This record gives sequence, C-alpha cells and structure tokens, in this order.
Amino acid sequence: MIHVSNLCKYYLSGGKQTVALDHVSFDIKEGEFVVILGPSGAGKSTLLNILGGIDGLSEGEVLVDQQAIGQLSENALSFYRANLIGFIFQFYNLIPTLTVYENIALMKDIKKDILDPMYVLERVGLKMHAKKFPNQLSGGEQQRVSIARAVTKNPKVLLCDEPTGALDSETGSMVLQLLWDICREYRKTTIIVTHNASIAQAADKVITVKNGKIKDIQENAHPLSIQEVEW
Amino acid sequence: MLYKKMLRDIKVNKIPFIAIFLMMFMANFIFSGITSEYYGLQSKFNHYIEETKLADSWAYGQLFEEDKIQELSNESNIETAEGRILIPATLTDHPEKSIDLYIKQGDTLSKFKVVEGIAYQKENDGIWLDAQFAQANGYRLHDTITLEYQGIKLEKEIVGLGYHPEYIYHADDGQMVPDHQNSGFALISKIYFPYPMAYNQLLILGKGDLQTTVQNHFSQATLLMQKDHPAYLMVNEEINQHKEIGILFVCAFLFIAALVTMTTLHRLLSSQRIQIGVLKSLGFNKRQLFIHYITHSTCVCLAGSLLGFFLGSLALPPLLFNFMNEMYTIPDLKAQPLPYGWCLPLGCAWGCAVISFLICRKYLCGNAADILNGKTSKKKYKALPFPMFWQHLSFSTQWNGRDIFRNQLRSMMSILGVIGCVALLYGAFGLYTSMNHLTIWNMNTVQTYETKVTGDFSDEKYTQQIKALMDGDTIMESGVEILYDQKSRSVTFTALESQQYLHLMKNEQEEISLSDGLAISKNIADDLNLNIGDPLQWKLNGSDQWITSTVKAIIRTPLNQGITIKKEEMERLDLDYQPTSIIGQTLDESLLEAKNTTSIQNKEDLQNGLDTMMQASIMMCSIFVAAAVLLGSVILYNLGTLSYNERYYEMATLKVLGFSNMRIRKLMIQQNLWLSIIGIILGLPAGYSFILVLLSTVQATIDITVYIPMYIYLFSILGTLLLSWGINRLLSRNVYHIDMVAALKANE
Repeated sequence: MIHVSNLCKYYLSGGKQTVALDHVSFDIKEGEFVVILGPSGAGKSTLLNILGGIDGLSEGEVLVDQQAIGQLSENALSFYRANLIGFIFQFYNLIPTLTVYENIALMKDIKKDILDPMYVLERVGLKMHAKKFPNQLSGGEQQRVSIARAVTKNPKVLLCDEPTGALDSETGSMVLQLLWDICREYRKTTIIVTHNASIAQAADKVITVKNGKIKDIQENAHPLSIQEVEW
Repeated sequence: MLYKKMLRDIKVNKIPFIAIFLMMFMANFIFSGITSEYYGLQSKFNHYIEETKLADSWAYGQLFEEDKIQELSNESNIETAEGRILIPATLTDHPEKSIDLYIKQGDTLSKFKVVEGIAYQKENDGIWLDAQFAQANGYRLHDTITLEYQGIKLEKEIVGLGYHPEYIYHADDGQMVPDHQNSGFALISKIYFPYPMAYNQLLILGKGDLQTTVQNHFSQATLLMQKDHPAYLMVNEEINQHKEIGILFVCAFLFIAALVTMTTLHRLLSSQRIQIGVLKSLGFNKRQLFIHYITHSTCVCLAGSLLGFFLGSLALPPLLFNFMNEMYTIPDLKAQPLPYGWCLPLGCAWGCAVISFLICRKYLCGNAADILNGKTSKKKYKALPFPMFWQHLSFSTQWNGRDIFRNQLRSMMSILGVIGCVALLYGAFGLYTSMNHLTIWNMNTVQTYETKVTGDFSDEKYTQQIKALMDGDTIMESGVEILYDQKSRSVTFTALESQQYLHLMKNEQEEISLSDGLAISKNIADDLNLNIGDPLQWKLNGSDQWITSTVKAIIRTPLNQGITIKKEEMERLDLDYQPTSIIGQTLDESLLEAKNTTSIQNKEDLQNGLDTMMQASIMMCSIFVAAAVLLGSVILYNLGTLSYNERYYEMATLKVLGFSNMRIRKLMIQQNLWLSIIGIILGLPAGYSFILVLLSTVQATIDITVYIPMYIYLFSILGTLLLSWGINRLLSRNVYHIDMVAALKANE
C-alpha cells in the first residue's frame, strides 16, 4: 500500500540546510494500524505531511497505492488528497463558521462518492450535535467530528497527527478506539503520529523516528485492543 | 458548503465588508446619480434644441432688410436665415417687469414650444407668452396682457404659453439666476404688430464660416455663435462641471474601496491561515480556494455596486434637478442612464476580483504544510529607522511607533481616510464661505447701488431728473467683440460715468481708479493671456469700427466678464456714449416714465438670485459633509477594528502583565490620534486643491476666489478630530472585553 524508499527532506533556514528526514525507508500494508513514534523535532510530522501530499520531498521515492507522489503536480496532489487521504489534526482544525454537519458535508465539494455525512456522524456518536458549531463542542467531540470528516471521504489512508495530543487520557482513549474500530471495520490504512509510546501497544506496526532517521521498525503479531492499553 | 462558509465569514467580518459595501455603494451611487442627471440633461437639451431648431448663429447690431436676408439665404453654406424684431417691453401695470417681445413672420428657427394653447402661426392674432413668467405672475391662457414700449401700448390675448430654446438659460445683466417673476419673453406675429419696423436680429442655420458669409452681406453685424450663446454655453458648462465633480468623487471612493478591499482580504486570509491549510490538506485545489476567497469581497462589492448604481439614478437626479429647474428651462427634464454606465458596477466587481486574486496569491500559493506551520504568512519585521531615537521615548510611544511602521498599509489607509474626511469637510465649508463671500463682496464692494433702472435715456432732461432722484450715475451696457492675438471673444461692455456705484477692484480690497484705456475682467484676460499694457482691439455690437485701446487694469468682477471703460475715454475716442441704465439709490417707481423704462432691478432681486445660487451651494456642501462623515466613519471604524483585532493578543498580553484597561485604551487612542493628526496636516492642502478643482469647474462667466476664514480651519480640524476621537473611544471600549486566557491560548 505504502512504500517509502530513501526519503530525504531538507529545509533551508537562514542559508543553512537542515535535514528533517534522512534516507527513510519502510513499507505499510493495506489496513494496517501504524504508529510513528518519536520525540518532538524527530521528523514524524514531516513524514506524515509528505505521505499526505501536503509537503514535498527532497529525495527518494514515496509510493502510495502505486502512485509516486513525489512526481505529482499540484493539481494531481489535490486530487490525491481528495481521494486517497483523510487527515486528522491535533487541534481538530474544523471550520469554525460551519456547523458540525456542514464541516462533514463540505467533502461533497471535493469528492462525489462520499459516505452519507449523517450516517458517519451517527457512527461517531454525534448525530445530535449536527447543527452545532465547533466551538459549542468539547475537545473530544471536535476530534470525533474531525475523524468523521476524514472518514466521510472514504479514503484509503487515514493520517492522524497527534490525534489525542490535545485531549485528556479518557477522551483520548475514546478517540483512539474510534480510529482503531474504523481501521479494522473498513480496512483503512491508519497512520498515527504520536510521541505517546503507550499507543504503540495497539499498533500492527511501530516505526520509531529519531533525528530524521528510522531508529526502529517493529511489527506486533498480537497488538492489544485499545481498552487493554495502559495509559 | 464553501458558499455557506463565505456567507458566515462575511458575517463574522462584517465591519470591513460593510466598509467595502459602503464605499462601492457610494462610488456607484454618485456615478449613476450624476451621470444619469447630466446625461438626462444633455439628452433632453439636445432633443429640445433639435426639436426647436435652435439657430447656429445670431446676428445683431444693424437692421436686416428682407431682400438682403433672402440674398443671404441663397448662399451655399446657409440653410435658413430668418429675421425678427426684438423690443424690450414692460408690463403696463408693472413697469418693473420686463418682457423681451419678439415680432416675427415665420417660426422656423429657435421655435416657440407650446405647452398650452395653440402653436405659433403668423396668421393668428394674439400673444404667445413665456409659460414660466405666466406662472410666476398668474397669467393664464386667454387672459389679456398689455405691454408697453416707448409709449406704444400693445394689448393682446394670450393664445399660447410655452418655452423658447434661447431662454433655456436667461438672466438679466448683473444677475446669475433667472428671475421669472420680473423677466420673460413673448412672441407676436408681425402681421398683427401695428407699427412698421425693420428686423434688428437675424437667425441663421448653416455651416462653415458663417461669420464671413454673414458679414459679406451685413458688414456692421456682430455674430454670436451657438456655442457662445448663454443658453448653450451655460448648459454645456454645467454638464462638464457635473462630469468633473462626478469623476472626482467616483475616483476618490473607488480608491478608498480598493484599499479597504486590500486590507480586509489581507486580514481575512491571514486570520484563516489554518483553515486554508486544512482545506488544502482535505483535498481542495488551488482553483477552488482562489474562487472561494475571491468571491468574498467580489460578492460584497457587486452587491454594493449594483445597489448604489440603481439607487443613485433614482435618488440623486431629483435633488439636482431641483436646482437645475431654477436655472434652466428644459421641458421634461428627467434622469437618463448613461449608455454602458452599467459597466461601472461590473468593472468594480472585476477590479475587486483582480485585487483579491493578487492578494490571494500571497496566501494560497504555498503548500499546505507550510501554510499550516505559518511559514508563508509570517510577518517579516524590519528594524525601525533611527533606533536611537525610539529608545529614548516612552513605552506607549515606542509601542505605537513600531505598530505604525510594521503595519504600514493599515496606517496609510487610516491616514488616507482622515485626509479624505478633512479634505471633504474643508472643501465643503470652504466652498460655502467662498460662495457666500462672493455674494457679500459683490453686493457690498463691487456693485453698491440699490436700484438699477434700465430703459431709454436719450432724453437728457429726463435722464438728469432720474439721476438726481437716485443720486445716481448713468452706465452704458452693450455687447462687444474683442480681438487679441488673432483670438476673438464676444463679451460684455460697460462704460461708466463714475466709479461711485460700480467699483473696479484689483483684488478684494484694492480699488483701481480708471481714467484712460480700458479695464478687462480677469477671466477674459486669463483666457486671452492678456497683460496690463497690452493693446486690445474691440468693436461695439452694431458698429464696424475697430478700436485699439491699452489694457490699463485687470479687474476682479464676480459676475460681468468683459471690458470696462470710462465715459470720458469714450468721448476721447469719438464714440457715442448712450446710457442704457441709471444706477443709484432707491426711488419712487411711480416717478419713472413707463415709456422710457424697460426694467427696474433692486438689490433684493439680485440678492434673491444669489440666494438661489447659495441654496444650491448649501445642498452641494451638505452632500460633501455627509460624504466626509461617511468616509471618515467607515474608514476609521474599519481600520480601528482591524487594528484592534490585530493587536488583540498583544493587548491581552499587556493585560496579563498588569496594564490597566485605561492605559491600554490610551495606547489605542494615542496611535489613532497620531494618524489623524498626520491625516489632517496632509488633508488641509488636499482640501484646498479640492476647492480649486471645484471652483475651476464653475462657469467662466463667474470670477470666484477662494475665501477661507480661520474658523473654517478650526471647524475642519475639530470636526475630523471629534469624529476620530468618538470612533476611537467607541472602539477602545472593547478593551474591557479582552479575554486574557482565551486570547493567549488561541495565540498558542
């Protein structure tokens, strides 16, 4: 599903080149629940951004569903994001001027064959909040709306950047459960970037990144369920 | 859904979008109002002079025999030539009311337009009377009217009421505004005029060099071309004046609207940086986002433009036509939209879209990751100029100084708003005081007589008797053709017995005593590039004798533009001094002989005319003041809100640090006060230029100088400061509502 080979990402800052990712390589199979672990500044988010087609790569090759995203034009990248990728952010990033339902139904503007927004809202347990605006919801509820928005597009890959980072452990656990359920139920390849090592216990694969390099890749033959994870 | 987002974005940012709406509304309102007004005026005027066949040229100054008129008609470049007799009559019962009585055969040129009664036909007996004179004096169809001219009484039934194209604009000598109460015209058929008289006027329709053709047949005739006829000249100058004022206002409002659009979009896009990043991440492409954000301001702009465009043509022309109807007599005057005028609202929307596109490029072109990380929109702070200078200033001065330098566009916009506001206020007040001063100066300094009696003063004994009664002087007024540097003009000629009641002013205070040579009014001197000491050729209407005189003085005269000479100088030149009026103190009108009197003009009549003109200027000034307040309020409130929002986090931080609300309010007010003061300093010269532009559009027949007393400066400055202070006080009250926790958390 995802093949990353010798991926490098450099930034120029004040005339000096900073290496964000240094010859990173790994593979992810379809339907896997993957956790990318690493401390702040390790390059996790950069990796996720490149996989999501919202940032470019400097060297190497990234194949997602057999598409080399490093060679896609900007329009093709938009199409790629609209059809293959669902993004979930740490701070939810809902459109504050749209209601919960409208935030999800917004996906109609970019993709025709989306899931019924109301069905997805019901699935994430927020149907009763459909007409509310984001600022009327709690953090956990907003993150569930964000997940619903990503899932409604029916993407092949869900990319989650610290999805529980702004939530308390109980709410975070609920959100992870939802992601895990979606991954298993709909066979969505789910990649979660986090610095919370506990989550790794529930992952099929754990990729550890440090200083822009892959430090370790572990496959869990028997991942724990979210309820079993110790926070 | 993006459409809904757009509507809600506009709602959330309503203040700047209202500003865009109002500026676009005003620009289009003024444009469509003024263009509909002047285009309606122009169309109706053109239609009217075409329908009534206004003559291309008039010849005066001698008698025109029938057979010679026929000869002239046979010339290849002459289409029609028609003679008529004009006699200055008065009403027998009211000798102060003058009537220009036309006696003619045919009515093929400058035709009488009947609005009530029968059309003019030479076979019909009766009189066709000026409809406005009739209305002002209570005359109706079939009433009998008695006119008198040099003792000849003429009693006629009114068989028609109507208008005449040569009386589209007609004001008596020394007046600016038509006086339908005391002055009018009438027409009778020559067949029914019992006294044989030769034609003293000739109307010509033709093309090419009419001057030469006519003078080949009538060597003493003076020709007045259509473009120089007051009826034609005044309306066309009025139209040009409205065009220029309209363009000035439209440009000002569009400029401000463009700047408001720029600041609004910058603010919107920078505040929605995360949303833009998210939308990109979700898969929205650049084109969709461009359309989305361009639509924000373009929709508002289009709505404001269209509403302004439609309302402008409905609301503004009736206001302006109120004054137009006082000045001009054009039937069925109504607004008419300028062809392709509808392009302006669409052009505004297009321009707004282009501006929005250029601004969007800055915010929408980066990749989603950069946008989300804030890499594309980080404000690049530059070091302030003269750092040593800033270091020694107080905290509030440094804080505000840095904010101004770092938000140059916003600061420049605030200054421009204040410049516009103060310039309009100063322009409005200055225009009013200049106009008011013109009337006062004219009445108290230039024309100091109480009464002017016009008529036949060939009887020396009668003249001396009236002069004694009025303690007055005779004057001779006529038309004259002047020639300098191969440029000729038809202007007024005034010969003075003394300068007791008509004063020749070098400037407002300094009077000139003229003994020899001639004095020329400044407008004409400027037009011909004439200076003191230059020789000027002139020829009285009705004479073929060219005289060369030296220009001894250039005088400021508000109303009569032409040349002035003393009676003694005329006698030195062997010219016949024929007094046409006596000016002096008031007299018992019953002592005047009706047969020798064609009109009596009192100071009140002149004052009434000038009052009408002042009413128009008050209306214009009111519009300027309203525009100033609107412009100032919208810009200052919009930019004040913008400034407040942009500095919200900084102010929240100051609050957290322990700054009192009052101190933060002072910080806000201080910055806006600085910008207001800069705006005022720049706005006053801009306002002066604005007055000069406005006055330059006034007809060449009026010489008006800028008169701005000190209190106008105070009014304009204090008015602007008061507006700025009021708005800032209103805005600074928001400081009490700063939520320190939420603000700082959101910033994180």
